[in-house]
Amino acid sequence: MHTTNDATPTEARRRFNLRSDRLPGLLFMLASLFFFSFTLTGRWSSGAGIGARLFPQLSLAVMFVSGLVVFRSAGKKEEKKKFGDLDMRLVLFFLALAVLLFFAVLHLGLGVGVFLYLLAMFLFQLRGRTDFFRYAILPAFGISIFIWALFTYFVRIVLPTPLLF
Amino acid sequence: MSELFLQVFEGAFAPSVILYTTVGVFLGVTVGAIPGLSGDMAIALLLPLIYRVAPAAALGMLMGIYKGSMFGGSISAISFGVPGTPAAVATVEDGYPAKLQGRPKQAMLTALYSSVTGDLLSTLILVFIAVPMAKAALHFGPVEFFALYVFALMMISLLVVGEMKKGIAAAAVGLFIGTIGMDPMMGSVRLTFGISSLRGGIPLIPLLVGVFAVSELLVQFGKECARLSGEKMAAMEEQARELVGYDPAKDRMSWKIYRSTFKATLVGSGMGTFIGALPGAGSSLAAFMSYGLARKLSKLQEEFGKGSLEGVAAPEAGNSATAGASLIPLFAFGIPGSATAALFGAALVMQGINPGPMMIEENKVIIYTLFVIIIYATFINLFLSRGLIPIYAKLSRIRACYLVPTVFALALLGTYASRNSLFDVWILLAAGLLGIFLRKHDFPLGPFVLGFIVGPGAEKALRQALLMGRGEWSFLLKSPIALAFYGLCILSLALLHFSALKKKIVEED
Repeated sequence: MHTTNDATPTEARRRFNLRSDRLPGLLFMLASLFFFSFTLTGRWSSGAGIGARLFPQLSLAVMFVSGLVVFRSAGKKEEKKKFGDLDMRLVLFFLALAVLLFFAVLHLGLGVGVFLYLLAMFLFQLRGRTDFFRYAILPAFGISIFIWALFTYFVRIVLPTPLLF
Repeated sequence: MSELFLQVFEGAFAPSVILYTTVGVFLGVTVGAIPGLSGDMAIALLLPLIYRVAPAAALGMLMGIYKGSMFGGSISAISFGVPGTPAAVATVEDGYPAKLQGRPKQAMLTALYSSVTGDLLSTLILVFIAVPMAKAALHFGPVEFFALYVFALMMISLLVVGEMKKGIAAAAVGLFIGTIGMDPMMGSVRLTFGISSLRGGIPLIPLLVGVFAVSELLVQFGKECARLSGEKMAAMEEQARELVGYDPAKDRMSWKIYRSTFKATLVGSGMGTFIGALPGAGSSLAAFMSYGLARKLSKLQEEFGKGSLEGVAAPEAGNSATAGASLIPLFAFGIPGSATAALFGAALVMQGINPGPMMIEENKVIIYTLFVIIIYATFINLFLSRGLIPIYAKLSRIRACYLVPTVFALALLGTYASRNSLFDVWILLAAGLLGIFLRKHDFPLGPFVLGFIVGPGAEKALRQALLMGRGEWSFLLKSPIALAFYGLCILSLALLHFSALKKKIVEED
């Protein structure tokens, strides 16, 4: 069994590091194998025959082969640094706020929900500043009015009756 | 004939249509000028909102965004050395040095005039080529169409900037996701895992908005560039101000200057039109190839990279010329030539127009109206941008920390509003995460989207062809047109393989 520790040469460790560019190839292969086996069981469709199965299986086969090629060729080229500093915790925080925005819009109202969401975002991004009123509250208020007017009068969004505004 | 002409004239020059197109151009230049936002993103964001707008006005607006964003990218590229869109990366090479030499106006106007020239030429080619090509495509059957789909998918995977294998993998994922929901032939439900909302398939708009817009916004937020971009550009502007004492008298644009860049503009227009018409090649590739070719053909090669106006004209004409040309495959065959054309195709579907060879025949008035709008949108772009360049340059300094949350809220609410469905919002967020995964690992988004959009059509063509051939796969090779498409696929693969091999040998030497 291959194990790694601090004494393992860096090159060897990098080769077996699944967080590198081998991950997408592996994921593509695993996903295609999972769905391919799924298409064979008969539970995947409401009465599909061979014809209905053909195209999904063909695309899964291409996905598996290209995933294998991506997996095998990983590490040959230097990885792009473009996303090196991408913080997934921030991404998840942003997504969580988006979900909260929706619940706020559905329960409190469009204007209030958007204002709270924007205020939270601006306060988070401009943390460290002291003049919140000028840099966070005022812009959040102005943009909320714009979004509220856009979706109320132009797009005419249909929402349940809100608690507030 | 004269009745058709009148209807087209009335439709194209209705005040509301002109207004929407003008707003579209303004929005397009603005989002193009702001680094991090792009024309694709703006079109994706507006898709859910155009349900309630008349087809000509809605399509005119989207066309205006497409055209405006092509030029808009050059504004921040020249002003701050930060390309507003990926298509403007090549413009930085000479545009920013020209600004540092005290010629920002000349560089900006050269970019505008060459952009408009390239755009106009490719639009005229679209108008004159799409109709005969669509007529020829009427003779295609399922065998030929399946071969055409394979060719389009192969080309978009091969020609994307980046690695070919990743393009093919992304296209395969798109094809597979496109099979979720109803089977296009028998109507049986596939891969829905019991979720009734998936019976109609993955909805197009949330997927497009998620992959194009939400993933980019999430990446920007995740990198906290929101805090930095405004400050970075202000610092670069300060640096430029210190380097040169600006003299407006020396920075006047003239007919002579335009004429001196005309050859480069024509080179860029030709290259951009050719590359734009190929499925998948895209505006960034067109800009770089135009720049390279113009440099090779120029008498002042040594000036390139040091603020040459030819070096500004060629990539700008090249990237703008892809705007009209990339719509040729969409209008003629119903197959989008680029990710932006795919978004445009989605807008057509939303307006009740199904892209394909019958599209022009069945929707003569609206399509000819659209042709007229596409042409005059170019002139709106010229006059609007000519007057508003200083304002656009200021707009490009809007802080991303305000833009990112605002645009994200618009994306969420717009997607919800299009069908009043919370399910669409979850699809949007999931597509955003998928988009991040693809971007992070350098998988191109174009093939993924094209795979998703053409998948059902390709499946239908394949199964119809197999039914006609009584299950014989060799039936797919019985048409000379289909054979020609497969031959082109093999030829393209071989050419790319040998050019990569040659490059490797040269590098080793």
